Amino acid sequence: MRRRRTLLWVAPVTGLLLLFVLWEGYVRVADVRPLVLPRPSFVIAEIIDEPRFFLWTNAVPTVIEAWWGFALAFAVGISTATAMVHSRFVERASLPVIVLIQTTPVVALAPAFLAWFGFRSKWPEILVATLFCVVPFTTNAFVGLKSIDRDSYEVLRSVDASRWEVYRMLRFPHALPFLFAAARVCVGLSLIGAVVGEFFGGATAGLGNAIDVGFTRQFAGQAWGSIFTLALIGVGATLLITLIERRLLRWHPSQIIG
Amino acid sequence: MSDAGAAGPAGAGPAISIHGLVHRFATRSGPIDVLAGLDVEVERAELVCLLGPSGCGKSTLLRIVGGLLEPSEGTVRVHGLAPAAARAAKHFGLVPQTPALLPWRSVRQNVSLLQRVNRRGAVGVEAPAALPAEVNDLIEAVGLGDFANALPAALSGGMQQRVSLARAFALTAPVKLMDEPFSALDELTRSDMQLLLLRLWALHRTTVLFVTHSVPEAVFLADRVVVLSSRPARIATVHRVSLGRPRDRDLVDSEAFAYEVREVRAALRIAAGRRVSP
Repeated sequence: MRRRRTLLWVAPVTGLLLLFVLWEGYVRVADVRPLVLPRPSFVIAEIIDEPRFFLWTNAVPTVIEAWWGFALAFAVGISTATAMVHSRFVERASLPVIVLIQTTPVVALAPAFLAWFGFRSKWPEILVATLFCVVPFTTNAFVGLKSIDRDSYEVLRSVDASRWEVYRMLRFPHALPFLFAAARVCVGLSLIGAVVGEFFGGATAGLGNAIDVGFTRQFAGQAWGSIFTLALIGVGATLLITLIERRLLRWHPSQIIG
Repeated sequence: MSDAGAAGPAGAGPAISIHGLVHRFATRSGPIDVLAGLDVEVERAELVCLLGPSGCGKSTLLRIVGGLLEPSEGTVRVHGLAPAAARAAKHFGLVPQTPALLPWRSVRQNVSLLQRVNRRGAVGVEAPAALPAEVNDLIEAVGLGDFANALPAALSGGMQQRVSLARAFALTAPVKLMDEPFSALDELTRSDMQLLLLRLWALHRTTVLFVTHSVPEAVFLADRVVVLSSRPARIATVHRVSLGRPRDRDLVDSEAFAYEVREVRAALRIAAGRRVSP
């Protein structure tokens, strides 16, 4: 039990502290300009100084954009993957589209989305986040739904289970660990998507916008404070997913071993 | 060959009848004959073992009977129904080679799984004559009473296979199909499982078609052993096992058992195309 707690909390915190100490030391010794690389203690002080600016005014729009991008990508991904496992035709037809989305520089589409939806809309940011996340969700869901145990499948077929029953009882639960793996990746990707969307999508609020403005106007505190806030949100969201995963995947080896 | 069994009450006609069954797989270098004309009948409540050299098509035959695979030629009837119809009417309890439990469901949920699937089938063409098995009783019967709420990952391989057996018997399905279910188990566990199967079978009076490549296992379990030849499989011999029931652990040490094993092994050697004496 004690070993468990050590691994769960003490180890990650140690890693993080070590990073900050090395960083702080380097900046002090090498005397780096704050805009280039500020001391972590300086950045944290900035956030504590103006929590409303970082953690509310700018965090909320970015989190909303990232969340909708994440959710939309999940919905599209699981639907596409479901269609793919049930039809070879859909599977073959989807592959080139997936590769296309994966290889297109999504960032470059942000101005186009801006032209479609205008300055006031959140759609450019949401769509960039969606496009970042949709490929991991689709491919992981597809592998998870498809790579079911053959004997389990035949047991269900031996009593003439319908496709829906096979899906509900075998495919979907089997895909859950894969979906959680994708979700972990997509927490980061959706935040990056929202920020990048704000850079190029003409946002007037949000952490991406705050970073953009901060660097342009040489407000080191604002720029780096926003970056730290993003990291904080990412860690929080990842933690949330880990907790949900622990509840839902008690049966999975990843939760049982170690 | 008649289809009348479909309308008749339980007990009329054979459980499984196979006539002129041919199966070939298409491969890149042309078709491969797997089953080359089989005729078998299995009586109701009979326990028949399919024995043959590895790769001879035993599992293929089982899958055809279970309606999981369409044969190339020939007819198969299960209680007078075509395999696909029998499958739709929930006539089969399948025990595959691996336990094939759903790892996210508890032992109890796994045992009751197939009752929850395809409910329309359960009230199918012909009401299966077996007694309605209570899930909890079955879990007790396979010796897992203390593990009813455990997840499969907490169980040993042998225990998992017990759950798989219980799952097949939790269905009122009159025909159980078993595909080498004990082949991955150690010898002691395997002999326990054989006794357990015989007990469940005696209790439920269902037909069992049991694929194995172990001669002692076939002799210990079966009323009749159907010996298949090497691929393409034909029926080499049908051996009626003249050992009484109920059978217990001591039987395997008896002279009568040894005699039966010798007989079947000799038949298998000939069927596999090997010399009879070493």
